[in-house]
Amino acid sequence: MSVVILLMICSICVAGGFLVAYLWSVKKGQFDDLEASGFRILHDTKPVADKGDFQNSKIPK
Amino acid sequence: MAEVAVESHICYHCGTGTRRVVRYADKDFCCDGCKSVYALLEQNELCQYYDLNSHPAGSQAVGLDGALKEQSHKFAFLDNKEIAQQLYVFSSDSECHIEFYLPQVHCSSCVYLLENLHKLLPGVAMSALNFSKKTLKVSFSPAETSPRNIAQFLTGIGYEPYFSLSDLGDGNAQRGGLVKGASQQRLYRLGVAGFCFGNIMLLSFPEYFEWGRGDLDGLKSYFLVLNLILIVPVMLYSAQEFYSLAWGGLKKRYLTIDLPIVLAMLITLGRSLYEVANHLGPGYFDSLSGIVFFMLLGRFLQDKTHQKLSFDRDYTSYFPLSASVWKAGKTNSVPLTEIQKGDELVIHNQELIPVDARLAHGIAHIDYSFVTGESNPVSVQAGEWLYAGGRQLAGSIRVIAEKSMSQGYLVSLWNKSKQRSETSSGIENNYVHKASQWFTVALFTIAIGAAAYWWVVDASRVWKAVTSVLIVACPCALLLSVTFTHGHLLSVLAKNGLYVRGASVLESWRRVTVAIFDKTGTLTHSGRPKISFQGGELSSSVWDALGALALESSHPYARKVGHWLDRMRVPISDVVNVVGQGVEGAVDGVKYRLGNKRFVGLSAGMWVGMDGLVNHSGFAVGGLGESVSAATRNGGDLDVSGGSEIWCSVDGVVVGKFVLFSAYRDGLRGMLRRWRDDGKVVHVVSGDTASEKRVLQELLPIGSVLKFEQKPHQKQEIVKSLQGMGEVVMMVGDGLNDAGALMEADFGIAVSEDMGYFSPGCDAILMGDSLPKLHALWRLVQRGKRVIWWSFFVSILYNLVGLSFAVRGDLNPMIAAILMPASSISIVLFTWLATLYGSWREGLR
Repeated sequence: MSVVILLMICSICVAGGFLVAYLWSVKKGQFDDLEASGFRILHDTKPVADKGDFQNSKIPK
Repeated sequence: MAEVAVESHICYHCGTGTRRVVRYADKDFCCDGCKSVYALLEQNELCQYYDLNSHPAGSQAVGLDGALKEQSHKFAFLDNKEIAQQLYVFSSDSECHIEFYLPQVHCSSCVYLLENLHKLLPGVAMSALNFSKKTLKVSFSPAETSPRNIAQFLTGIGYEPYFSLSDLGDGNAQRGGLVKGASQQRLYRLGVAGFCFGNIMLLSFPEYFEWGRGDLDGLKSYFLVLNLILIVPVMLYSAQEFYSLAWGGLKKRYLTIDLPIVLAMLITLGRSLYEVANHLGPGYFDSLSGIVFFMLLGRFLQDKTHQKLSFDRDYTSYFPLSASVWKAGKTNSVPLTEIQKGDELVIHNQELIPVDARLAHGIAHIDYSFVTGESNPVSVQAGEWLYAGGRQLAGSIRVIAEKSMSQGYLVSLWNKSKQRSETSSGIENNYVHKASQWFTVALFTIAIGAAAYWWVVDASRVWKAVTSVLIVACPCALLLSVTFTHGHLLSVLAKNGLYVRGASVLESWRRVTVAIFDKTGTLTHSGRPKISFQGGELSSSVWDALGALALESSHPYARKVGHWLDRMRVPISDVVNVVGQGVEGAVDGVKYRLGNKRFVGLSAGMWVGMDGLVNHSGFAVGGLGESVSAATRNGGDLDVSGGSEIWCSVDGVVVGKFVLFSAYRDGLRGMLRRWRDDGKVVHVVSGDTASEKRVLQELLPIGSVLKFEQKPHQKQEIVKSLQGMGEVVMMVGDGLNDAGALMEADFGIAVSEDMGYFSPGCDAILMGDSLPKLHALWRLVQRGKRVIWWSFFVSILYNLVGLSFAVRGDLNPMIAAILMPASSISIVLFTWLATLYGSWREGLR
């Protein structure tokens, strides 16, 4: 049954990956403004750059 | 001349119906402002703006035409390096970042347009809009453009940035950062708790279904170890908030609901560790992490703040950033805080008077309605006092500052009202608090009872029974029902235009016995006056000419008349705006004039038939001192009580006048009656004169109290004396003149037309259009209490089932694991459905 342990470890790693992705997105400010991103998707033109990143950064890239 | 039938057209840009059409590129526009925005977008191939929403500009474009004409100086202060520097988020020689607050942002088209700013305005590198905060962050190159340029451009396309004194200084930036940090922290904790809860649940499955059959027994110990690891971040990180709140309550010798929760968590943890260590069972890690997760979720929903609103505004958000100081023949922008006594200031049309001052030069026509509640503008002679907070209505004036900002009347008014006793609100008399105390006592009684019983019957099971009781009956169901109900209530209220500071103030609103309303700006609609014309029959071409002329005026009232008339657009020539007097223009060689009596050439007594309406009652401004009340009206200005007048003449012959009345909002009568029907006393307290007493009496239910000419501090006294009689007072007001009363009242509601702009400190902000719904909203909050009681009842049912196992001392982890999330989820569902039902019953959205 050691395969179950292997699977368990895999599943926790995958879930942990999602947790890290979530924490990263909170940190990047993706949850600061939930409405605008929904609108941006409707626009034909490509955005100039990552808006979320720009909203947060104090130093220009 | 026969009336030419013209159908109404819809403006392609803003959706206003109009007969004065401007045609451009096969499309109809209501004014040149709208047309030029369209032209600009078309030129830059940004017409997707119009595909995303039809007529996207909406009401923000009203006055676009006129706004541009006079506002070129408005953002002059942005040229002042010192001021601009404080507004920058980042600055270097090659690139600067600045954040604008744009209250007009409202739809997906706004996002599209504003984020394409770099295509429209050279020098702008990038712009990003935060839709919920309505802030636009712009990155630009200071060599190519300036903040002033950007601000003026934004105004031109219908997004006028709003600056106020509170934007200045580091304090502002720091506060913003703190709020952001706190809400992110909560999201982190929620995420970590959710992750651990889900995984612990998964790892506990073998235990639930007992597919033990022996072959999995070896795995169980590995799963236990994983559970042990996963519970660590939940207890040490996610649950921190509960520890600090419980500890804070203990230090103040005050029993909060967090204390029994922390106790239950620690006991659950302790017993689980004991069981694991002694190989007695898998422990209750799943229930424990579930509790933490659901409670955090509930608090998150309840405290979801209205980011765009601030309930603790003070006068600094009302004042502009700077004033123009006149020195040696030119004007400089100077930060407001640096204005000294004796400085000569230039106040432009529609600007606020920043400090108490004396009029030096020009025609002053001041609207003090925000400060005093008096709705008619007052005219002031050279050498007389002008008070901070008034708005100049008629062109530019020059004034000599007599006090620095911090000594002014407005600031003293503010500071006086700040001395508020903090005892009235708070959680001391909260029914939730009472229920939780009752719950805690009952819980301990049951636990001790079970202990006593097992002590007699089987002493070895005492420890097990007591801990089981405490685990099962964790008051989290209680907490969940309160936080989730309040969370739902707040979001329904917000959807209907009432933004409440937080759940804690709802209780005082629920217990209200007296409702006090202010008149000007609250019951009346200051922005949209009712207009009527008194005078002779006029031909269609005269109406067209008057309509066109009114729109050319620089006076806001005259422009309102123009929009009200809504006539065909006719070419008009020789337009002359005489500030403070009126406007003159010619159509087909005929001269038309709009303005005050003297301007149209009307001498006293000539218009006897109509002068009966004109009431030259003395003007008194509450609390502003003698000098203002002594201000004489020079006969025939636009300021007659009962409404403002604009006279008109054709070729020197006076043909009549437009009268502008402040109109009462629709649907007030029913709303006010329903307060009475619920046994509440309605008061109307106004800073205005008693001229509209009869209209108001008609509007109000029987038994209401009416008071006129109340100065700001008198309003506050009224609230205080009612409270002294044991009443719970709700105050609904708008301006600074109500600020004291709003703070004094048990529940203060500030009425605001435009959410982004200034409203005084209060417990809730109500959108002006939602005022008729106020009573229904209050009823909903009443229902909220019932919802909470019912969900208590539901959770008690669960607790009884759980306790019936627990007191026997054989609580199976599987039963705990089913009961715990089942009760949490059903309470979450129940409160949501009940609030939805309640708002449906009250006819709310």
